[in-house]
Amino acid sequence: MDVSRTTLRLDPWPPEYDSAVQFADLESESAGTVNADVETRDWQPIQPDSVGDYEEICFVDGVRRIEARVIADSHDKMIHGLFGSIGVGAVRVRAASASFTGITVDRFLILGEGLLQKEQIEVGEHTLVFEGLASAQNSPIELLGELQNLMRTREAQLGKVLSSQNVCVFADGPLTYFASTRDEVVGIIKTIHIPYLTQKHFSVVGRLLPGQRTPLFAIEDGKYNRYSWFLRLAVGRKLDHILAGVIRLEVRAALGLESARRIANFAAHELPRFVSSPARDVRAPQNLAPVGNLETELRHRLGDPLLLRRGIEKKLLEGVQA
Amino acid sequence: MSVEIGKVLGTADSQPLDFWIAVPIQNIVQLDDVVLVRRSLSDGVEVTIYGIVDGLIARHEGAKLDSDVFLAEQGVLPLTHAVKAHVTVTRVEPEIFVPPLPGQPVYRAAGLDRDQALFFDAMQKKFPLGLARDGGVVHGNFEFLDGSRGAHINISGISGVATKTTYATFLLYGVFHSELLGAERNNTRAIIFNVKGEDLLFLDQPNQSLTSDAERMYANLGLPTGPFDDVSFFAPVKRGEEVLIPDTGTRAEGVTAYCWSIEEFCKQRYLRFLFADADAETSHLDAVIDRVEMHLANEDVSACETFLDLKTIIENNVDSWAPLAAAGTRSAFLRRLEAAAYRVGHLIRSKIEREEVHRIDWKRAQMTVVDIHNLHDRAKRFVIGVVLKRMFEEKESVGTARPLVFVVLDELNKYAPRDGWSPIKDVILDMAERGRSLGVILIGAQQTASQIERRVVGNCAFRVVGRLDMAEAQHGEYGFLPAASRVRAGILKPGTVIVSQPEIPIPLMAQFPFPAWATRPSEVKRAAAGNPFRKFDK
Repeated sequence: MDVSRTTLRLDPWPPEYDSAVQFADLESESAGTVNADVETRDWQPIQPDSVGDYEEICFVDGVRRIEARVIADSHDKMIHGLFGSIGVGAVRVRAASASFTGITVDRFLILGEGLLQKEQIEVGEHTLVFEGLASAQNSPIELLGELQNLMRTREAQLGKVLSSQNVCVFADGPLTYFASTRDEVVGIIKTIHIPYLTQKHFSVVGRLLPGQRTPLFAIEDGKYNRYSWFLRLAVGRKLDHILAGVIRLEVRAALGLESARRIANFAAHELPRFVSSPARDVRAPQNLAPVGNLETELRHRLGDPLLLRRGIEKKLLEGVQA
Repeated sequence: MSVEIGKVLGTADSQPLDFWIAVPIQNIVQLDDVVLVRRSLSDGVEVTIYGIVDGLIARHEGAKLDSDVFLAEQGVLPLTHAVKAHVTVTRVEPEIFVPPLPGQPVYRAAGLDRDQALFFDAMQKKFPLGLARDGGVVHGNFEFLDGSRGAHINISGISGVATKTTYATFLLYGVFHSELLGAERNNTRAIIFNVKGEDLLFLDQPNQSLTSDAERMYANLGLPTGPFDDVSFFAPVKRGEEVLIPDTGTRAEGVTAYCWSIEEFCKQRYLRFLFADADAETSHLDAVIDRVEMHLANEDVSACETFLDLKTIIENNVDSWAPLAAAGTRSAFLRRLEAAAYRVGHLIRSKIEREEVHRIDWKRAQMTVVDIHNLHDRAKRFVIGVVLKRMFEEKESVGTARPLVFVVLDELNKYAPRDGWSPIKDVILDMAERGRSLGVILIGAQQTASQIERRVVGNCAFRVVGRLDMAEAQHGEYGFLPAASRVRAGILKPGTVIVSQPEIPIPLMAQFPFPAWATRPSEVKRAAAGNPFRKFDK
């Protein structure tokens, strides 16, 4: 019996990144109206030769961690909560030097059903303050969403501070959280779940060579109108799927088409040199080397999870015994 | 003022006797820096932990792969530099051995703190060993040199980097120019054997090549800059010359030609020193030598014109003087005597005019330089053996340790080798073991301490190494050097030594200045400023 089989290709990211990725990126990827003709009608890979005119590039990123989940003793009701930490920071690249900047760590005690409580946890000689945050929600996944929101908001704040005429800021994920529409901030979406484009247009993505981008297309959902494009950073292995090594970038539509094109060309020219290798980062090449190191640094700054957990347990025990 | 250079780090174990410091990148911390950290205990006691930096490590933090350094240099990967320093603890005050806590500030010890760290504060009498990298003086405890608590110095180092003899003379210079000796200063003596070249024949001449840097070093050490001022020079008489003139190449004036009379040779029983090669099978030979010496001491040798005549007397009588010895032993004795007569004969003469002038008199001046570099090995041994034996016997007969006599002897491996026995080894061993109580201080030097009789090195309170051969540095004799110092001993520059002394648990690196005295004719300051008649004064 002759059965033609479908060729399967590998998504090279380890499966454990799935949940986080989807959670992070799906939030704004509901496609509105897509207009593929904003830059050109002739859809071909574009190889930009402009060097761009930014003096500095910043990569903004954040990490979050649940230190402990709790359930509040509140009458007959089950109220979920969590102790969470978030770290946000950036890598500043100027000439031939890269350094960390603007790293902050914040900690929260998020409780459902509008319950607000702040906790001070003793770890060694230090007192860590977990700020209280009351959530209207009450499911564990929704509370995690709150923590994610806090992280995204802080990333956006840092991105806004860093952005200026001479600085191009690359943020992690879509630009949903950026309140201002005029900052020259570029969102990098590392995993592509929705093609946005028609089959005809999307086929160009598969033909991109490293350093090439697609023409810009507009995504208009009435709320966060933006220009977007695909960029190939590197070529994946033969068994990797066609989009391994491709990222989607976006800028706010309010910047104007000309600025968007300039930024798109700059990104296509600059980003491939920051590509990581699979030996260094399992999420290579999409997860750029500076971002990978920033995440490691941020996780490190969150502190030792075991120590924090012990501190929280001690505090909770005191509450139980009181 | 002690300034903070870093903090005790917490990623490596901090222990009472060694710990690590994290050093901010802008702070310059180097090997040999003296540091301290204070820890307050919960009972109110403050413990001060002193130590020395003996290791430094710099790394990229945040790098996972070796090639990350390229990415960092291209501005792709954000990495940070981290420097950490390892500290070996030298002292804990009071003696409560607790580890310093991570995060505690570490200071570079200066002034009194530095003296405390290195035990200099407890030294009642100190002499300069050199300068540390930080410019501070490295002191030696004189009580461990003058015999009160210990004695002797042993110096190891490869030849050709002018370290061993130069350092030995520098140490003497420091001792003679300090207040340590007090009233005995004028009577304290030093005997230096010049075994190579004629470097030591200009000790009394200022060095015109002395740089201002070296002068500054002398000033830092609290020493004047100048030559030794009371030196007498002895060189062997020239072979084949009737007139007794010294056999030297570069300097003749002010050098006394030395030799011994046949009579003294017989009476004082110097014969044994003609047979001073270290030899395994000497016990039978010794018996013959003993017998011959005994008879010679009572023999009338006034008729002997030369040493050859004396040799003939011995040859004619050896059978009757040592009848019990085997014929083979007697002929072995004669064979060696024959060889010795050829090499040493010219130093043993008859009818010496003003004999006392040509005798090596180590009391004549503060420093006595005995040149032996031109002599054959056998003759060198003879001279060293005779001079040391006489000096030792004189000290023994006086019976008091003071004033001290310093003996500088290079190539100790020849005279006190690990294997075999010889009369010189006997004298040197005696000096090493009993010299402390007799006030005879041995400053011995050699290329390789591993080839020296263990008891000689073992009795030295101070051990010094200059540049060492890497393989040699691995020998057990250098066990006092921590691993890092052993490696450094392989790359030490001339003028730098590592000194180990009792009380200080870690050897210290010391730099000593270029000699202020000339070491070759070209360095001699002609028409030296000051007193032009100085050399006629004696």
